[in-house]
Amino acid sequence: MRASLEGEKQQTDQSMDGGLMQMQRRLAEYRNALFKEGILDSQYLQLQELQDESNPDFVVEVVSLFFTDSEKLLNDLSRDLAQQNVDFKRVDAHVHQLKGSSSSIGAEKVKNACIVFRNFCQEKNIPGCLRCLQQIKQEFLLVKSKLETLFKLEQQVVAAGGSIPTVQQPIL
Amino acid sequence: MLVFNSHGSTRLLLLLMISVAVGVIAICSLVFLIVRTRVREMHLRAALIKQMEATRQAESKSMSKSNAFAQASHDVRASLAGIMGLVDISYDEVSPGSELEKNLKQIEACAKDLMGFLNCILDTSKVEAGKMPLEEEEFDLAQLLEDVVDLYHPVAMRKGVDVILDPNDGTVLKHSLVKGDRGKLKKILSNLLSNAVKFTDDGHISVRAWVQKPSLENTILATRGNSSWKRMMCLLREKNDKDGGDEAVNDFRQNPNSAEFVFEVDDTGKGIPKEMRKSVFENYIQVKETARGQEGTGLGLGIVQSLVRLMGGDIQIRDKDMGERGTCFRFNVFLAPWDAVATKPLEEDPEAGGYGAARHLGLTIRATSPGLSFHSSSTRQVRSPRPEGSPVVLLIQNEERRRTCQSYMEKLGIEVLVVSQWQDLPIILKKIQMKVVNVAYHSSSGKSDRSWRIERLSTSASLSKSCSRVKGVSLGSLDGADHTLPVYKSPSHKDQSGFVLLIIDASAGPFQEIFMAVAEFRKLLPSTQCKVVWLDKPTMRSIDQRAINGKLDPDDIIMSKPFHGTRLLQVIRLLPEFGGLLQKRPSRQLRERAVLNAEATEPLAEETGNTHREKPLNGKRALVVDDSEIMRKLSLCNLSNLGATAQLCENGKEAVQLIREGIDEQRERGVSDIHRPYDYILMDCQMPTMDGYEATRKIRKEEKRYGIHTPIIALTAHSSGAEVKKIFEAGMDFHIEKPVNGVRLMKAISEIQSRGGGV
Repeated sequence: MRASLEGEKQQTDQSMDGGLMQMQRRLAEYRNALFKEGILDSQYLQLQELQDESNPDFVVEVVSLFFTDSEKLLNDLSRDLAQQNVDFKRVDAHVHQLKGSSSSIGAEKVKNACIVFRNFCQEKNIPGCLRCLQQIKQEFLLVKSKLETLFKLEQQVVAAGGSIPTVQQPIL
Repeated sequence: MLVFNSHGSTRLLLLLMISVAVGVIAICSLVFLIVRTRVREMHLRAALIKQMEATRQAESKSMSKSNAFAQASHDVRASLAGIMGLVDISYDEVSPGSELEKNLKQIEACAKDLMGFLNCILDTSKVEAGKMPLEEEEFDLAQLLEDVVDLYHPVAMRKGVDVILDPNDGTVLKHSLVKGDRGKLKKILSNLLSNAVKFTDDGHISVRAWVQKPSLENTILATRGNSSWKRMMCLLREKNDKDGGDEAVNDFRQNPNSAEFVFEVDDTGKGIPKEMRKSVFENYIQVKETARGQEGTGLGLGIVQSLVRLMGGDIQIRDKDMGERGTCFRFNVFLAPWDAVATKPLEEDPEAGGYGAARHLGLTIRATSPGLSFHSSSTRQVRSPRPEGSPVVLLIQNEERRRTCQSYMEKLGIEVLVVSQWQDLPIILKKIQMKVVNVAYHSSSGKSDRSWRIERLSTSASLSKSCSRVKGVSLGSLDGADHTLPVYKSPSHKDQSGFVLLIIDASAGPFQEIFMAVAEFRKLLPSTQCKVVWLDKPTMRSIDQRAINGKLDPDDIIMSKPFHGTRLLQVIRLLPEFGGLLQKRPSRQLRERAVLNAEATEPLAEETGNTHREKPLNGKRALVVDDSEIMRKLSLCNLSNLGATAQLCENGKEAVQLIREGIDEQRERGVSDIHRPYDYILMDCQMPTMDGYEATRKIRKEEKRYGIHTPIIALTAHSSGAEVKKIFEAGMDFHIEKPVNGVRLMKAISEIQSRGGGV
């Protein structure tokens, strides 16, 4: 039963290759995994909703901005923490910014790591801060690579003629 | 002669003496008996007096104890409130996620528990002291039931227990507007439900209610107003009512206007052993618990009993059928209907179906409906159903919920096809497909080729033929209320719409498979003839939007709240027989419908117009002030999606400059009536050079000179009490949490508009 249903669907839906179906499914699975693992949160969905014909590359643009911004911030943080007399105010300001931008694209793990960082910062605990910085860097690299893979998958789907599904359901 | 005489006189004398003696003895014994009884009586009386004295003393001692306790508890309450308030304030000072915050949370939880215990004890003593007056307010009983059930649903679902509102026979829906003490009734139900949730680890908890026909005992009491008779009946009945309760009980039962409502809370949990049944209602007794850490001071049921008795009823534990586990609490209360017009005393109703209650509540019944008897016969007849109504396919995981939905719908005359396992869904859908196609092409019903006897299918036919003519009862004053029973219009042969309603539990099986089966089915039916309602769980969403490539039909409905009560009625109303043809898609802002955003819900039937075509902020100009480029971009996108244009700047200084320039430009043009250069300002609080607070203060100064006021919305990372204060002191109008999204923006803007924002 299942096989025949799938087959029918393929026939009626895709006149091209069944490979598109597979790609879309892979994309969906990959995306779900990101949410399930807590790497991305609902804010990312918000970004997706904002993307439409007038803003076709919105998500990619914002995310790229986030990457460049964050890399710079992380470098600044490393430098500031390596100083003789650490200026905690500056450090805090940087982390605040990083937290803001990561939360606005939905990079949940990065955001959480920032929160922890700020606590150490308030306590003026340098080793704690350094450890946290490492953590943030790790999480950032993780989300960066995941998102880059996600974008690649999306590009493949689009190139094969499919569309990236958006969310639109009435919910009671 | 003398001899004879002496013989005779002696005999006489003897006789006399004997009789006298006997008489004396008799009198003596009588006197003796009388004296003895008298003495005994006096002893008894003395004992009685002593006993009454003792009782009175005990009562007054207990009364004064209760009073003293009530007094003292006010102090305890005050201190507790103090603790909770201080904890609240401390939250602001603490850094989120820290150990300290966790400790604070626990302190708060403990304080809340203490408050709960205290209230429990207080209530008991209040009831005992007779100080618990019954309030009277008008409320909707069906809505109350639904609210309480929905309240406990999430916490029970977390344990894997479903909480179901069983519509039963629908009598509560008919007489749902009542007068009585809503708060106490809610407390009773909450208490019972929380116990049920506590002691049930799997299965379900059902809550059901119905209106009871008046019983003989009550009518006797009602008609005989004689006080001595009352007293005798009281003595005979051996109730240990509290004094206040006694009068209340009689008041209620004599009131011809009130009806008896029976409630049941039925769970599949641990159960209560027979020996403990009486004692659970006594305060401070608790059924011994497993080591799972289920606590309970055992105070809940005592209060429940007192409250129920106060409302004129009683509570008991019902026996369950053989092999069924768990506990079933049943209690009844007396409530007066809202629009009590009838003054007729309660009378036995010869008709089946409890319409006596309806009648004396002054309601009119449009048609005789024997189909709605209280307890449906459990005989299931599998026969070929008439193609009269639109069939409903029910695929619900939880057995009990399935049963209650099915039986309720069948009582309304709807043909229900139950799918017990998700694998059977395609089979059933195919059968319906054939039937619908048949109906569409033949005017007469073709029953021949449909054999509904498949083992795994449990098709249940509607009740007797009179079911097709079931009409609902509507209370006159109920315009717009959701609790009238839908009115069933039997479809004539001509307008056989061939409509099919699918109600599918998204977690009943692998969603993809189910969805595909449904999609297949739909392809062969025009969209107006089929509607799908997906039941989803809010906590664990089974509907994977992305997995199905978002191909859910836009007219489908996804319901994440439990499927009972008003939502059940709404879905029933989708059927053409109940008035729901071609419902317009509930239109809302496309942006507002974030899947994981559990915000406002709107009733199905509301037609709000196609708001997602118009943009709410069309033509508005906004100024975005934020140092982060990402934020600016985000805000810009959000605003333009809502139809507004946006000017971006990086810090407070630039913002103030832009405002000044906006004003200056108007002055140069010679505009006499200066208006604000921007309709809204989105101001980030934390920025270098000049932060949001400073900028706002400066802007307000400028604006004052021209009598304008631009609504300023603050963007904060998290809104603590202190920060909110700062925001309002600086002169900003509203605040939203970062990151910005369409929903929050619109909420803020509509809030500002409703306040009459700005010149």
